[in-house]
Amino acid sequence: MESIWISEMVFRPTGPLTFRRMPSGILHIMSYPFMPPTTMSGFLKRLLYIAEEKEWPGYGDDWYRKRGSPGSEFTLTLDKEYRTLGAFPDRNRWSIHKTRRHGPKNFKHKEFSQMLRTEHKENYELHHWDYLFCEELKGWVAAKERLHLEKLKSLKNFGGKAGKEGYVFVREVGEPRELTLAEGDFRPLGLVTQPFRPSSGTFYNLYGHHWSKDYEWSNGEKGGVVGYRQLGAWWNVSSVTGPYWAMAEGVGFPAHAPDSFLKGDVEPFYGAGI
Amino acid sequence: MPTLSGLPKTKSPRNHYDIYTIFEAPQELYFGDEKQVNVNIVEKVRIQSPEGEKEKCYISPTKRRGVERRCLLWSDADGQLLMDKLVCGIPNTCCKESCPVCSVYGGLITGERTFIGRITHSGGVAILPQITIEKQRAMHPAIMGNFREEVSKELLGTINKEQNRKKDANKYKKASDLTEPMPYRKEYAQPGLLYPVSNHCLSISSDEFATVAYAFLMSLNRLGAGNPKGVSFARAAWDGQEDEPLLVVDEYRVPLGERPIVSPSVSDNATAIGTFIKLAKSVSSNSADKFSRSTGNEALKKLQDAAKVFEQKHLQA
Repeated sequence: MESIWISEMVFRPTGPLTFRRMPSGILHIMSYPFMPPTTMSGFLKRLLYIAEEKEWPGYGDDWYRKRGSPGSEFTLTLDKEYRTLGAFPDRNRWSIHKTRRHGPKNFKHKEFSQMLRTEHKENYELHHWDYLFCEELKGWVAAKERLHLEKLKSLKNFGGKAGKEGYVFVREVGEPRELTLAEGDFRPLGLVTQPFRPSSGTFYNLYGHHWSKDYEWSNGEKGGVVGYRQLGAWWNVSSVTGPYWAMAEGVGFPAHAPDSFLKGDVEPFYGAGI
Repeated sequence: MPTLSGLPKTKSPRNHYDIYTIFEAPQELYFGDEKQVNVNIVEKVRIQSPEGEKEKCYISPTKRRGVERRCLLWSDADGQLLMDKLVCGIPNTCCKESCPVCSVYGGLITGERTFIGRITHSGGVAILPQITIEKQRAMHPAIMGNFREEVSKELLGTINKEQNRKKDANKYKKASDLTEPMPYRKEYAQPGLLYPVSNHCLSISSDEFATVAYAFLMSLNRLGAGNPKGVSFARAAWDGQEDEPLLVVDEYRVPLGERPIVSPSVSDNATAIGTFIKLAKSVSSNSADKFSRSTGNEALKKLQDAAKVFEQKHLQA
């Protein structure tokens, strides 16, 4: 029988969070009301580096010295054995604080540094900025084997910067659970992706990673994310009908959802993947 | 050979540091949100709590970060400001590895260098739901200084007040607008509100922590926009003894203590302080090499000692 393993993780923010909605404008910095799967993947990878006390990669060789402009060829993610499913606040226990923030238009001038200022050419630009407030985010990581998920247990109580703004620490890491495939009406956990087209919930424009086995890191290791692909997803869906990984009877993850956010040279978890 | 991270190797190990505290505003405080017509509004957030939606005053972490950075740059380094000594400003950061400010708070020279900051500011949501009071204030007109006087003299000079007042009513009004204070209203977060806040530092050396400690302590009486400014540490009896500041400083490689974070949905001062103290005391192992937590007066001393190191290293000639 087809199955996957799932670890439930509870994250606690220590303050306001911004998970920047894409595509975005310069002046409008809007936030998703949850941690998207792609963000979660990078965040967990960094936490693993911190917890394992490894050298801090990410802003060095691969970022600056690859072809093209800085960052264009570098994405830090969990390995391809993992599928992050995002982390979400309790349905009615979150709010988005919308505010305005001053940002400099030009980063090179000296005017704002001055206590005695005689030039007044420079000015701010005014951003709209969203901040997510919630007590907790509950998220899931899926894998085909239990073994991979065991590693996540070392993250308990570690924290780090998450998203564009904010700090989050790991409150709990659940025991990995094996979920088998079921079929029928169910209440979906997390995000619902195509081919489902639910009639309830809120639609969000999100991105998934594209994995290439040929991507070469500066240290010679192979395999990594080389790009993004846009996809639509729904959150807070009350019910859909179809195949799902059953957490309990009538509750679970849409069968395609784990594969939706990581495509390319990877083995799909469900069927041939869509 | 540059390292993969781009950061130079330090002699002493890099550790993680967290500062947790509860601020108390001993007077009114203003940190603004959008301006409505002639009303300056305090920034507030809406919180979904078990008892329903609540509006609370807020010391935004990004504003706190800006105040801290300016406190560093504006401190005196033997007759000149540290900013002038380092040639590092806002937003024209120097972005050098050797800069005690950029190396912790981050820097950017667009298109050339990015220095990722390793300190994150958090918290800031008041415990009690909205307590703001709007007050009447007077502001001088939008056109300030000499220009205003010149313009108004010129305008008034052309009016024969007695005879042509009616005829030149518009001109007269414009001149008086420019010279008379304009009333407006301003909201203030009321004194005594408690604000739990925290600063989190990732992989920084003890010298870099000196910057963090100095900035944090210096920023206390500079928080707030305009006047008045300033917060102090809220105090409570940790063990039923003397009052000590509600302050926790962690230095660690592994996070072996509960993090004393008060949820924004808590709306009762006693519960918040109780939670803070309880979590602060929940440590699974307090050993110098993996996790060391200081609380209360001891934590304050740790910050003060570190701040002294900053003064010795960077503010003397």
